[in-house]
Amino acid sequence: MAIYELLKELYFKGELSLWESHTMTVFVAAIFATVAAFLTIRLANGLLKDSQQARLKIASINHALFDAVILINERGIIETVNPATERMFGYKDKELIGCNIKMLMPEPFASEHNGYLQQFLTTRIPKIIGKTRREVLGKRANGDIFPMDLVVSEMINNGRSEFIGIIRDMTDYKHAELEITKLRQIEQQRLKTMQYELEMATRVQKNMLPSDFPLYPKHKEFDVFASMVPARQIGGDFYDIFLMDENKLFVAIGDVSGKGISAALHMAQCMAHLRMLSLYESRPHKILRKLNNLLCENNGSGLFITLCCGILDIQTGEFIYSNAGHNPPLTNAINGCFEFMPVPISIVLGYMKDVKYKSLMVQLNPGDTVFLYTDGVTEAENQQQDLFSDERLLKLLVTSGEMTAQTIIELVNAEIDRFTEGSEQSDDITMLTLHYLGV
Amino acid sequence: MEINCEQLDGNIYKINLKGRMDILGNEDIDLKFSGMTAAPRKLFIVDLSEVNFIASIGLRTLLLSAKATHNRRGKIAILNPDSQVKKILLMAGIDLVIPIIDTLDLAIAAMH
Repeated sequence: MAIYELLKELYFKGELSLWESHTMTVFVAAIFATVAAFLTIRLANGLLKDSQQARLKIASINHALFDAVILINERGIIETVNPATERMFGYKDKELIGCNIKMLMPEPFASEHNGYLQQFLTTRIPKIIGKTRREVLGKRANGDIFPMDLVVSEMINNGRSEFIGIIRDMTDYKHAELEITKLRQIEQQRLKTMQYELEMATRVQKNMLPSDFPLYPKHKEFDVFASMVPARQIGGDFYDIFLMDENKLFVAIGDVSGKGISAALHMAQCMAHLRMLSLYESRPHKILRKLNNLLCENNGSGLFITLCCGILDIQTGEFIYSNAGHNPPLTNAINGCFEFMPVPISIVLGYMKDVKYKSLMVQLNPGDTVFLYTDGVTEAENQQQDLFSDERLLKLLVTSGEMTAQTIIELVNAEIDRFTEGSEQSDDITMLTLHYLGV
Repeated sequence: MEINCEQLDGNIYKINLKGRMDILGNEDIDLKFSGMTAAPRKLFIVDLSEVNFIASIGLRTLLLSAKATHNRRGKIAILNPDSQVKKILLMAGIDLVIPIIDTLDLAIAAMH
């Protein structure tokens, strides 16, 4: 208005009478007011339209929602519900509007609800309002109590509190959860059982290999020791040592192809056959031939076994031996220092029937040693994937000097440990030492 | 481990293996090897020139396919293994059932 006064002064230069000036002011003011009112009304209408559109949109969303949306006032009275609410609880909206929300809750929650509301309104300490979802129980029209997922927020409308609850029916989720928990429990149980069985099997397997050294303390004519260190719990390597009669000691070492339980079962079968065959067959090549034929029967699973076995005549020191695809053993009996023994080359056991094997003989004198092993020894790897190798084994034995059957094996095991520097063991490491002491 | 198969004249299939034939390597090629040496194919040359190590699990794979091949009256040969691998093959007596041959020409000749 100050600008208007200034303009009036400039234009009329004081030639207006007081009445004229005042009337002009009134007219101008009226025009301003009219224009302003018009603009304000237009703005208000625009806002109203926006607000109506927004309401419509919310209403349609609310209507389409899968979740139940319930609006209650601060006394817990239901003001609006959406169609999902009707479906979820089994009521028509007019049965719900105007009633207390507690009708949708089972006891004891229904009775406690008014109290909760009051407490919140007085203390303003939210327990579930505005917080993350809560799992609660709801009650349908037919009395069914079901699990629901609830989120509550507060709105202030004209100074009064209103509460919006969004509810998801969790019945199906709960069923699925239960199933999953059940399945998980069954799996756990199965795993435990399997592990237990595996441990039992390992123990049984270990017990099959003679390990109660010295095996024949009364026999001073020989000193024999063996060890098998499996790569995993269940191994495929085996050895056997037993007196066939007072004069003959049988030794054998073998390697079943494959790993795990099936290898262990085959190993057990092979050892049993071996012991049985040695009852009435005293020539190693004949034992192998018969063993091979036995193993070829029912060999659908492609089981192959390498085996080296020999019989020591305790009185004479003759050691007769035969081989089926196995690593040649070492001895110092031939030339005074350790070297690989000549072996008759034959195919592994279990490949085909009626294979002919051969026996060879080496004369042991008191102090001589025969050392048998499996490829877990020579194929032990270090981090750089270098192999322990035949050469390293030979060198170790050559420099071993005077040792007992047990200390030789301990020496080789220690050296393998050192060489592999903690690399994971990939194959069973098995060794058998026969030290002849003479009569 | 890697494996591939090529067909030569006269229905001879040459299977080329590459890498270490240990437990893990064998797992890589086991099934494929069986597939490549399955019926009705009968003549196989297994090229081991690029295999630098073979463990008993690898021997088993070779023996199994040899057994199956011989049962079908087919033929299988091993081509040109390196000295280390050859040593292991000889020790296991593999050459008694699968001939080990140095050159491709001789291997092809052995198929007839």
